[in-house]
Amino acid sequence: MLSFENFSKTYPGGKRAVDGLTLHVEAGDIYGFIGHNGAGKTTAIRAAVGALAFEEGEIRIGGKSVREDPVACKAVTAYIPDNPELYDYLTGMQYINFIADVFGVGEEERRARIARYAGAFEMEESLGGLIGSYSHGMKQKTALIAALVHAPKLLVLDEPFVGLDPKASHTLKGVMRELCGSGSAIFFSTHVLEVAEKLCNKIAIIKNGCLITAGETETVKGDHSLEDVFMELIDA
Amino acid sequence: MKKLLYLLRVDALGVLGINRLRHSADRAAKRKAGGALALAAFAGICVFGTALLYFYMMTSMFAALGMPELILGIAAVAGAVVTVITSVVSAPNILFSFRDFDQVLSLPIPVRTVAFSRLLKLALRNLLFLSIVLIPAGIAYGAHTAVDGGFVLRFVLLVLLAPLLPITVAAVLGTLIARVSSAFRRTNGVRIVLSLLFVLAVMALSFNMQPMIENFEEIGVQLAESLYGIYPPARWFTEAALGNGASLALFALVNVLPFAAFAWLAARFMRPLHALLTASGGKKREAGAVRAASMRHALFLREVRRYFASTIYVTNTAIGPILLLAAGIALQFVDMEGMMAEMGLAASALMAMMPYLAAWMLGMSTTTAASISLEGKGIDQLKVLPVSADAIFGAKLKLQFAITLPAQAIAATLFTIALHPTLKEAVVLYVLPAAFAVFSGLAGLWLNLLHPKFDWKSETEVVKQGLPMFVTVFGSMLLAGVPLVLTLIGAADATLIAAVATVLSAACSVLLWKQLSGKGARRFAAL
Repeated sequence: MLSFENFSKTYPGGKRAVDGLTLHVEAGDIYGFIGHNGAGKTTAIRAAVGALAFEEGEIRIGGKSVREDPVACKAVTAYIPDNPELYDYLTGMQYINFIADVFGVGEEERRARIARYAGAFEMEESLGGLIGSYSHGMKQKTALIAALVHAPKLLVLDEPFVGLDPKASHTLKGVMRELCGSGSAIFFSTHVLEVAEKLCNKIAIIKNGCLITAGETETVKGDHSLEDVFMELIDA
Repeated sequence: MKKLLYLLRVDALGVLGINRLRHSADRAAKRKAGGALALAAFAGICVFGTALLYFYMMTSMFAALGMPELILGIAAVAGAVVTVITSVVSAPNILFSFRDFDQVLSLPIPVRTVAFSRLLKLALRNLLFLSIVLIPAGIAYGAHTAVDGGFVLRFVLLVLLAPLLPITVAAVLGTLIARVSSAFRRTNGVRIVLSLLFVLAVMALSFNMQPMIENFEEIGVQLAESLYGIYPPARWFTEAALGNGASLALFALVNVLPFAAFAWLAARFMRPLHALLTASGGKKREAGAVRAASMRHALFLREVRRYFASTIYVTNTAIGPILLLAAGIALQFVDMEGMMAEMGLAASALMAMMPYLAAWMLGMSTTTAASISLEGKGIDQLKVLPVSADAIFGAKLKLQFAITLPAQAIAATLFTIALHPTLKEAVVLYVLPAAFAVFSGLAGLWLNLLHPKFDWKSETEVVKQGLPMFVTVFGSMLLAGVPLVLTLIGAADATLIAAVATVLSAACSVLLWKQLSGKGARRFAAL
């Protein structure tokens, strides 16, 4: 579903943020992307979703090149950054409708999905209010509902559990499993290793822009905890 | 097309707090949004009315010369020059550095559509301003000549086309300045200096009109040629309005083609430019020495650093003091008294005007009118500090005074050297603008406390488009204009009028500070 093929990115000024990343996320995967601060996770994610131009390597979504066919790639992708910049002057519903309009979601489907996910995240009573009046967690939930309203084939998340209450986190995990069960893929970065260990069937660890290990979670961590493996690899 | 409209609609809902007014559950917030909208409408009407009056008077003069259409050219030139000056710094931010960049770019919308929506956003905002300049000029012309429906249709089309070339020029130059600045370690400092130099160069070019010749009948022609020399499309604008089809086509082409070309370039380079303009460079920098300072000094330093971290904040507010200094320097080389004598005006008229012009320039440069809003979503970080609101306000006012008062003192000295005022006139030159600058600072801060905006996506929204800034800029024009007009018409002794204006400014400043310390502090805590 998502492939990084020898992807590299050097910023103006010479900083090589990612070096030769090769990684494949299949349909049905919940893929955790782990690394220290400044490791290159956000760079890789931004390049995959079309927010960052790159010259070296290739990124494909659903077999299509992000560089050559960006709109087709974005049409099947939903992206939620770690600090979503929603429009504080819109209501939650207006924002979701805007996203649904852009993705061409029909009215019937839209209504059903909004009702479903707003209910799951307990946002039904709040979507009529201005986003500016929401807490951080409510904004996260609104961004999630907007991402799910168009039934993405690939869900790319940057620190999705930050700011969510325990119930919402539990709901999100359920939604992620359900999405993957129906053939979508999820690629998300997180610093919460326990969540990655329990939720992800595959893990990739990146250090200073380079992939140091990737594969099935059980294979990567072996008999140890993911935290132990991570600390050992990062400190090596 | 559909996706372009979605982007424009979402942006339009944020303008003037209209959506907040419709959907906010908080009654107080709704009242505030409604009040802000009403105030903006009222301010717009006042500016429109003032422009109409001013243009009507000018058109009467030009009609006496047999060239009433000159007013159209003047409006076109003035509008274009101001558009370029006001957009050169904000354009790169609006086009390439907006906060929701990642999210918008991750949507299935072609990058060229996103780029075009940002350009249209820039164009529509400038169209609003240009309309306030061009439409009154058109009405003034129509009032002096017999115009038909054809003129109205042509004029509407010309007004719609008018912003395109100036904003293209501003966007190209602004982006180039940003690109050049990014190569330097002190990126922001370089960008500020280059932007200010550019603005001063444009102003100098605009003022560098050919000297008027003595033959009265040829003044109109000379003026027209000078205008069209500054901005050649103004000729086509005027001729097109009068019915020249070829000029209409030329004006359309000269506006649309560069705009379209830049739209293509903006789409092509949108992401690399965003990376360039938002990068921290990745260069290793020294941590710097550990130094202790007093609480008040630390707060003041914080304000200074915040100020210079924003190109648009500096260029928008430093231009007044810089122009004042430039005027003072220019007067050392220009025989203003001689020029005024040639025009049949008394030198005393110049002396009467100078303090109020200085006051107006300083009033335009009110940093405090955006200083609360610029705290953005980090306002809580300021509020949790163990410092009083007075101390915070004091630091913001100190920045305002540091930018305006030294420049005013130097300019007043330069004016004194050049114009040889009497003792009374010299005192007025020093004291009145300073009193006005203090009052503007306090008023700007109070206005921003009443109408803060923390959810901005680009600093331009609060520095150039914020209501407190708008009221401060145009309010200072009005407040400086009233005593100036009274002086020029001889309503009372010039020194007496100046003294009253100074005392009133000082008294209002004291009252405002008392308000800030009391109600202001409570408002700040409630933000």
